[in-house]
Amino acid sequence: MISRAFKPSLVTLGLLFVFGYVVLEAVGQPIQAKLFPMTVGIIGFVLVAIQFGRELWTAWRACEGSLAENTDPQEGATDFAITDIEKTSIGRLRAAEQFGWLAGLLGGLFLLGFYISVPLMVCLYLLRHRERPRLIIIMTVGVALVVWGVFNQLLNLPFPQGLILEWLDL
Amino acid sequence: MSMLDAAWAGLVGILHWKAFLLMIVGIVISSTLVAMPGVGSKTAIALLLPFAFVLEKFEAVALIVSIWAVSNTANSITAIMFSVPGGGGSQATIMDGYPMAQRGEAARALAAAFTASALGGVFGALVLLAAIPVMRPLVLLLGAPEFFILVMMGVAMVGSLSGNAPLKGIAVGALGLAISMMGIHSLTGVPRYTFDSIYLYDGIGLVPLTIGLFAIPELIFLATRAQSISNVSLGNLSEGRRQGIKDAFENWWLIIRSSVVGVWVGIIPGLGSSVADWFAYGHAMQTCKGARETFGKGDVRGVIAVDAATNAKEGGALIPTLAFGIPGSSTLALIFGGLLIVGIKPGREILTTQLDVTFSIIWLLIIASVITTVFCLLFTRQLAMATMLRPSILVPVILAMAVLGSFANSNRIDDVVVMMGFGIVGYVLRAGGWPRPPLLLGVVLGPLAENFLWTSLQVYGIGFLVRPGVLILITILVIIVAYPYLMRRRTASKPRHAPKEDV
Repeated sequence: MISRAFKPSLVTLGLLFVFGYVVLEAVGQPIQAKLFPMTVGIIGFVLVAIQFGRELWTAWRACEGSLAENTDPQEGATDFAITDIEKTSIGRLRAAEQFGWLAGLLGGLFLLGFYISVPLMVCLYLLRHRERPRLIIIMTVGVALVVWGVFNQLLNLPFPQGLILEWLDL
Repeated sequence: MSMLDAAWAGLVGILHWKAFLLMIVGIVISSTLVAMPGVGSKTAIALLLPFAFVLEKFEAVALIVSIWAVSNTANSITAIMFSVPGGGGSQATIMDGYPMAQRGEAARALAAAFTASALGGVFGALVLLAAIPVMRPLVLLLGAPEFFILVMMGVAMVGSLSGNAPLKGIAVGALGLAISMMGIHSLTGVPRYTFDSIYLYDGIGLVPLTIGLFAIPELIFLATRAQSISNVSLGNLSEGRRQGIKDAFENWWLIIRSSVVGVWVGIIPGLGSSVADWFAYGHAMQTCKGARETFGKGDVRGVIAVDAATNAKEGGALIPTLAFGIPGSSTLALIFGGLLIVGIKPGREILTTQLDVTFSIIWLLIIASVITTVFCLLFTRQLAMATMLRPSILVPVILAMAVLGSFANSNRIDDVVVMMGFGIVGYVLRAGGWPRPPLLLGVVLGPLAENFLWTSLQVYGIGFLVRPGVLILITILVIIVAYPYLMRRRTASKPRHAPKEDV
């Protein structure tokens, strides 16, 4: 139960460090540059410190067995709260997989550039989910055309070539 | 520029073929995306914002505003047909829309919802129009100190009202303000929070930040579902359409009343569609004849009231956004950011030197509301079919768009890294129950707040805090922030003190 209650506190602790850093970094700067950071940093630090204290207090009381209900990290949930399926282990696994795809795509962009890695990601993603070959071909070609036609030709985006292609001098 | 000249210039501006075409594109994309739960208008705007970089003033306004203005119309489809809210504003639509669909009146409910939505949208735009003569002198009366407090008030209000934990919301708003400080300080040239990275000298781009913060967690939500929203038969979606349109016009007085509720909710920063729809539903239940017996069982008036209110809200929400530069929600903060990208500054300028832009937005609200309704009525089946798309098809396409859109911010791969970083931040915040909208609002409003703060201190010294206008605004701010706490304490203490009574 302690670990469950402490998870949201890690986020709170992280934010506490962020606001602490905002204030510390601002200290040596000229008055014009530090006025707003100090104002925001101190306000943020105090608010998050109160929140951290509340979370620890809740965790401690939950530990005592007197308050089991108020440890829900979703108490501040807004327009789009995390769903039940995302809380399950399979949900977390799928979320981790998506971050894996993101990281893979970023690596691909560095190594192969946009023209290859973006359509390649679409193709591999569809293959991974066992979509029909015809759909895979249509979508991969479609995305490649959008990358080239809309973003390069229409919006004039200068896509970097990618390290491997540069190295191969292609 | 006189009001009439500005109104004419605004109309001509958005009726230019390029702007008009972009409005249609915005309507089609927005209607299709918001028909799919999990992909909201925020994601749509964030993905299309990079296109604004290469557009003229009115073209950019037409694209950005049309995406937002119509986002409350198509989200009724999933609410009515599958009992799945397409967005915050369509939760109450389910109450009567879904029972109607279950007894074979889906087309009637949808047509009534679309028509009410259009009429509500037009009403909201007319209220905005009527507010301009009032707002102009009011805005000119305010100085930098009042604007500083107003901006801070906007962040605090959205923070405190966008979740059940006001403290978390305001803290996230402060985090947004802190992020906005990254980069070279414009007055002194001092680099702040740049970690010696040349990329960060220009600060964090709004586009990669928004895409990361909102599109990535939504994308993960879609991928986690691993199945389409619906795979049931759509049935007959044309029979009863005429009756639905007739229902809306027959209940014109209900539409006006619900629209007033919507506009009122819209004016208060932080209260979104998810509040407007329940307020309007509650109002209709209290005032409509026989509603207590029929509401919740498939009464078309329940659908009409909700959809009129949620679309009318947009006109009301634009009043504080345009006049005082306080976007009342993260979506409006995005619109605000989009307008800044094309050189339009909400606040004093948009009501004086750029009044034609304000009028173009009002015209857009009216024209886009009507066109969207016609579009949704004609293509209900096709839009409903969007809910059948598998996440495995949607996710890679959205991911590709997210990467390309982020790169378009400053043509640097660092933007993609920033997008991914904020994707993780967005996911962690969402998982921890920290509201994300105040963060975006803080990032957008941070530079304005800093400028107003410094100007206030330079002109008035620390005494700016005791100006009458500032004191009044601070009092309002304290009441708004403290109110949820007081209400919660009151609710918590009630069971202990109040005697038991039948509910």
